[in-house]
Amino acid sequence: MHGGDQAAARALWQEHAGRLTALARSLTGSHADALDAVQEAFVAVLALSRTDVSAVQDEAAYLAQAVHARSLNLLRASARRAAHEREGRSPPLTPAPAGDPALERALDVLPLNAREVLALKHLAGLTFEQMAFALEAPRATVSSRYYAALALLRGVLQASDIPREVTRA
Amino acid sequence: MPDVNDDLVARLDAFGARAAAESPSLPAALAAGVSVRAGGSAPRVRVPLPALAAAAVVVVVGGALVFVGAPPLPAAPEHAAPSTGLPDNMLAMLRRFNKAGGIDSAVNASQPRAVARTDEPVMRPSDARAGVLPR
Repeated sequence: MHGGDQAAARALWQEHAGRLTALARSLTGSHADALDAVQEAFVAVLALSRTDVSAVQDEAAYLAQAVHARSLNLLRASARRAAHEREGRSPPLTPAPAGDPALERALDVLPLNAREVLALKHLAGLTFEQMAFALEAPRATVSSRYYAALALLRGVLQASDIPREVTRA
Repeated sequence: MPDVNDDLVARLDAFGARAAAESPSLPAALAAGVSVRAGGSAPRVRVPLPALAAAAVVVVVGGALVFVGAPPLPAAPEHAAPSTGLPDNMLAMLRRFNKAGGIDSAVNASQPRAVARTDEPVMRPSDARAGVLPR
């Protein structure tokens, strides 16, 4: 992405856009909002100065942080979603990748701070160090939150009787 | 600490891998707006002025229509029925989890607690003042 290289920008998109969109969709609960968040993050990255670009040491963590922040902004900006948050639940996801709807549904009902660590780890594909950067929190805190969220997700899945695998229509 | 080969972790990884494979196409505006400069200055996203003007008109007209014609949104009921059709036992579990303090409480509960060791010598304040070392 350095120096206005369009091919590099395309490569950056190809490499990260899928996971980042899934991350944003998990946080916002909306495919449209997710695309907005990812595009905004990429526009911001492409607008960075040469000096700022060279200061980015980990592009995956940097982009995840940018998408995470924009997703939360979009989430807060929506009164409808705020009402859902007050009830402790998130809105249903709109169009979602096929494959494991039970898992996706269970993720969808987790509290935001549990969902975000699982999404950063498994959807964005970050390490704990990268997650700590993206969440601006100590690694140990992020790790503890992740395992607590994993236990909660397991409990939610066990509490539900949703069929695990549904083939794509 | 959970086993890293846990089935649930594998499901989550597979879910992430599918998401990565379903990469959205590069938005046309983003692709067209990335300038290529031989000198290597920072890339910029360029939006043509006519497009900006058209977008502004759409926003203004659309906003006016929404302002004039939109009916008031119904207030969210305090205890709305689940719209996601989730099983009752799943909702009950989540309510219990939130009532118990949420994830931070769960994290704290999982931390090993400091336990006072009984085999350590005890130094009383009077000993310390008198310069007596613990036995």
